[in-house]
Amino acid sequence: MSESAPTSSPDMPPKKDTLHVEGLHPAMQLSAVEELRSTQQELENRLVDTVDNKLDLAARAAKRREARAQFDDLIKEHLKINGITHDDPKFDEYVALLKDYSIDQIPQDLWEKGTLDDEGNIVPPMRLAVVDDLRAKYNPSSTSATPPPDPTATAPVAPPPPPAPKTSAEVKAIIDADPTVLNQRNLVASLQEELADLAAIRQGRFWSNKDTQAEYAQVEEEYRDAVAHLAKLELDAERAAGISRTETEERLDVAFKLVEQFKNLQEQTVEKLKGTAVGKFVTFMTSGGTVKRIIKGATIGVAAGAVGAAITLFTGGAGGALLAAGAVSAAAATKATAFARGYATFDNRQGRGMSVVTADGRDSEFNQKVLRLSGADGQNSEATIDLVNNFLLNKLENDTKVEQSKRKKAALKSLGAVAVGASLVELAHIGADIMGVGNQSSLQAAPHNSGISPDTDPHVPEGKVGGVVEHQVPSTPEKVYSVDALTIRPGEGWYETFKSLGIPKQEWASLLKETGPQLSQMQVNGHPLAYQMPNGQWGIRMTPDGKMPKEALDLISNTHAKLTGVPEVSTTHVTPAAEVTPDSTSTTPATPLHPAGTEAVPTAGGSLADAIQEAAAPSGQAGSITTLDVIQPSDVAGSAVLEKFTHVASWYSPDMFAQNLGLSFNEWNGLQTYIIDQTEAGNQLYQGVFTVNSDGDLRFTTNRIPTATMADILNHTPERIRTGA
Amino acid sequence: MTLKIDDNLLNDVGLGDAPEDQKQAFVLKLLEVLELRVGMRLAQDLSDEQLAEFEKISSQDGDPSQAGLEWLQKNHPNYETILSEESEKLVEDVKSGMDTVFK
Repeated sequence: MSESAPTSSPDMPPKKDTLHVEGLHPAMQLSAVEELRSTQQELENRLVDTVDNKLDLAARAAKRREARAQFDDLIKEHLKINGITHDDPKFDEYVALLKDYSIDQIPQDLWEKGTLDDEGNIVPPMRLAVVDDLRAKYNPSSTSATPPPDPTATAPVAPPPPPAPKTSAEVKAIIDADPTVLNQRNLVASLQEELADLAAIRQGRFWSNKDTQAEYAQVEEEYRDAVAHLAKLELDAERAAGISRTETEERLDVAFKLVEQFKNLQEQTVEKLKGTAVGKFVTFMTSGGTVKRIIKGATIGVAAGAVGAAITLFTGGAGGALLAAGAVSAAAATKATAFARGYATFDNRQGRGMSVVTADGRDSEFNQKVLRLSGADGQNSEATIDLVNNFLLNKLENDTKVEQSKRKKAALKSLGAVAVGASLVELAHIGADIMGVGNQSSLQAAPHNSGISPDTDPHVPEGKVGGVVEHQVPSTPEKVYSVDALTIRPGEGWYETFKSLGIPKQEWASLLKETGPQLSQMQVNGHPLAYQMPNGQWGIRMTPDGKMPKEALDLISNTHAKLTGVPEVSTTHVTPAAEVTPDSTSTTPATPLHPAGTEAVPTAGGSLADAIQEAAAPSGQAGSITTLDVIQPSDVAGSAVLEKFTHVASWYSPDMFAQNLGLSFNEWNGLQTYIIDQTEAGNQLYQGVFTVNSDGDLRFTTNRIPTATMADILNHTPERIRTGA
Repeated sequence: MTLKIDDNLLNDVGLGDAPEDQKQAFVLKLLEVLELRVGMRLAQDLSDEQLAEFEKISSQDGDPSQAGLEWLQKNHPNYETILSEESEKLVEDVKSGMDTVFK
């Protein structure tokens, strides 16, 4: 058997290691540094893995700190193994450098892969920056492209003209290459992660914990100092680089950087909140359809034994049967809404209980507001840094307290829900008797007026009200993309397009690698849509009308589907209105819409979609998605069905309104977030219609939703609601 | 005492002839209020340590509701009395005026 082929011929000269720094001690070469980092990582992983409960973030963070406290010893050991002892004149210098290159200072992803900054510029892998750093320190001639000065040259007669002001991109490039700034950024990133961990722990707890509070206060202080120091370093570097701007512009720049930093901290905190204790409990109790929820409630009840029917929900007489069935659904749904109101609404909102930073530029309203509220207006930039930094961190503290309060309420509800849930078995039993739970055919029937959204497995009491099981006949799907995806904004890259398509971030790089060459073959007005940058990445060439061709989105969507095995990018398409046929297996009547003696309530699904289509396309264009782009107030006023939706009973909850619209739980969360945001932002359309109470719950403040508000709400419902598809 | 949500109660609060969706909404709200009230009463009798323990239980893998109930039976065996008292009070509140219930 032959040996495997050598990777290089013995006749060939050995390939030069381009990352080797001539004259530098082997202990400090990149390969040795990476070996040290690997040892550090192993130690950290080993200690963190000793925590049994993977969700115990506090314990994991403590182990991580324990490991990092040993890094100094590892560094000294590393040097000793490589022949550098304490008495070596370079010992302290090397220790200091290796500390800077350690994994707690430079996370592994930044070390290996580099990243994109906020403006889409590529920040190279830190391992390469470290090599440059080492070369600059120990072998400067190898990196200097500038010829040494000629001592015999005569002095210039006139002083050179002042350098032209640098562009912001040039200044940024200079600062991004500054090792002091880079080191400080890494320190901030590390502390930010730690602070986000602790903020998440605090926000994720039902009850406060003094130990965590003390630890949080300490890390917050370190983070506060590090951010302020970084902001000042960058300010100095920008000034030294000759940036040209007014004092006001400088102040706005300073504030915006801090706001951006804070935004990152918020995002990290929210990310880390996922999977925390409360979230898990709520997720369990609110997951699944109605039947599953009943079963969950019933399980508790069975375990409790005979509770004595502390709660009995029933109605007498034939007319009450529907309510009994509805009550079961409602009781089960209560478990969802109880959490949803107190917790999950915020859980799903961007930033949860935190008021999310929305600054999208230096001159944004939010940025100006921060300057004003922090008292930094008119101050110099150095003072601005401290004032804004303190203001933002105080805001985080306030947000944390608000979130804790909401979670405490949610926890109380969950505690009560466990007790009340023990009695739900009574409901389930009553419901089972009436509905025949377990009879699969009856479980599939759906009453049109159950008030329960289509994804919650509603039931029909046999003989009282019938439902039509609506099966959508699959038709050739036509992908309809969001406006975001179809629009190219200046400076935008393919990653923004992928994001608009709802593609997960971790798949962007591989997807672009696959689609880049194909997109470069696609031409718009004789120019390729994608072009390759010197670094190998693919950029978007702006089209004359600023529109992204649908074919390009199809290509991306299809390629993504092939790469991931997921049929389509789910959030970006709708299908045309599908045909609806009665279920051949249903034993219920084909067209009963409302029980005798009850008001015909507008319901989810076809009737709403039909009404919208009729209102939006009176000239026989119903079904065309284009005609549904914008629903006008006059469309609402002109439709009896749509107008009916605007009537809301006193104490009527927005949840029920959403159910009548036919929204699923998740869809309602999305729409509710929009309404809450508009209400809180003071949008006139929502003033006097909704209010958000101190618990964060959305409430109606009127019995009549104005047609303009209704139109806006409908315009923010998912396509399927409007099209019936 | 039993919290009986029947046609009589619905009639008492003026919902006897209401559309079914409004009746359902009413039931839903009532139970939500009851859950919160019962939770608050239970929490008053529990120490911080016990509540922290409840938090831990809710983070367990699988179905946390079962463990939650077992925990409740052990730590607050009197929970049924509280449930009963709060149910009674809720009915009274409902009959005396909805504002006091849903505020």
